[in-house]
Amino acid sequence: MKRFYTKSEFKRFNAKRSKDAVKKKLNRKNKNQTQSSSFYNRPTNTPPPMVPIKAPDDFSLINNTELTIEYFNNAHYELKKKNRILFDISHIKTLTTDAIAVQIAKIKDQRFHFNSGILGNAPNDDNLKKLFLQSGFYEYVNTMGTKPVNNKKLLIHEITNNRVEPDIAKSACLLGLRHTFQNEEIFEPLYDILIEVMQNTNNHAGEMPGVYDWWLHVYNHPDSFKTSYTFLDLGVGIFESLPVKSFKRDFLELFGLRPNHDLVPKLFAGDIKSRTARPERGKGIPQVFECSQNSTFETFILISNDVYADLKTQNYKSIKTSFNGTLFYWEINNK
Amino acid sequence: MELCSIGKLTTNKMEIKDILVIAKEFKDNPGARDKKDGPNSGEEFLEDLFIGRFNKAINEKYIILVDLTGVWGYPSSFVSGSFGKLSMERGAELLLSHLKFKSDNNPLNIDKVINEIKNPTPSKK
Repeated sequence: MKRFYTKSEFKRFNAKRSKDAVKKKLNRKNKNQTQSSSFYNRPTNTPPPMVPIKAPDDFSLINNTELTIEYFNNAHYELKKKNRILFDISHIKTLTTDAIAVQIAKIKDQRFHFNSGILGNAPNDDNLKKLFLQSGFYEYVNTMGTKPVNNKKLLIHEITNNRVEPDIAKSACLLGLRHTFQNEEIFEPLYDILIEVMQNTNNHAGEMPGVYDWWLHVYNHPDSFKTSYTFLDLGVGIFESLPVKSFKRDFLELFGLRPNHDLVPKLFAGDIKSRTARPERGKGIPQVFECSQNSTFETFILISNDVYADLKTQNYKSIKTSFNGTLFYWEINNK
Repeated sequence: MELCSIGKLTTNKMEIKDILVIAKEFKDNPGARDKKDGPNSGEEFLEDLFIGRFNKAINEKYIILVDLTGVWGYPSSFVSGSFGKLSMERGAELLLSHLKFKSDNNPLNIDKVINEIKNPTPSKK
């Protein structure tokens, strides 16, 4: 050993240096733990809590709009907190296919689930369970054990590049017409509606064209000639889209603050056009409205943001719980 | 040369020498306005099929009969991206003097197309 290292000055120096190094190391460790304490404190291998979200007894967007939207919003709130959720629909007493379509779209939408865990169950009621199975729901989710067999040919389609898809529109028409009219005769209003709502999602669901997926669900009612169609996207919604927002600014200057549902007649009349967007972009929704007046359509509902519009009765109202997106639901029937 | 009038227009009398059946020669399920919006668009119909036939009709001075029959529908965006766009570029008078329309199953489609030609919706500048 060098003589230098045995001297008392060096021993003091070395002891201090060592003490400082330990102190620095401890400081570094404490600092890291303070910055992300929740991460360090969270027990490893412990999954986040599972929060059951109970669906309303009448599980239907078109009939029980606010409570059904609230159910999805509650789920979103828990998922945002990184909790896992259980979509509990076991107890429901009524069910319409639009709610199933929204549930599938939500489960598949990353902006909704944040990659947190979602579990779900089926209705206890036998008839509702059958409807739930026939809706094609299980084709879009993972199941424990074997997937329930669905013999009914239905269509639920997600378009990831969110384009206008004429082949899907034609297939959806045929699916409805074969059941409702027992033939394949062209029914133009139905086809036009499908193309226009696809185009609407493609152009207006987000700030940029083609950002949001759309979903189409077709359901042939087994006990009647009725066919239900649900078309939806989880975009910004019609009343928060750029052309309508731009129109609202002008409307505000002229008439003061008005609820969104006051704008619906103008939207259907084609009076809402953006100052900046292309002029043809105001024609789609008016064409949907025009086609919806055909007597073959029994029901025709639009839900978007805080607006609920019945196109058949032309009754438009505000809803307290906003739907983030746009949903069209209609039925064709052979009366 | 013999003259006839179409509305306010006065043109040379021409014969129908070409028939374009959209359902057979293009698609029976038209789509969106622009190619980027999806397949079977108005722009696709215009560029890949219609413009060539239309130019030939102008050069050789005849009329094309456009048969709208047998199509699942004519969405406003498709009509705008095809007939509307051409009308913006070449003028409604020229189009209406070289085109005639027929639709066996839905005569309202003729009005829809002619209305778009007369009042075309311009593209984004």
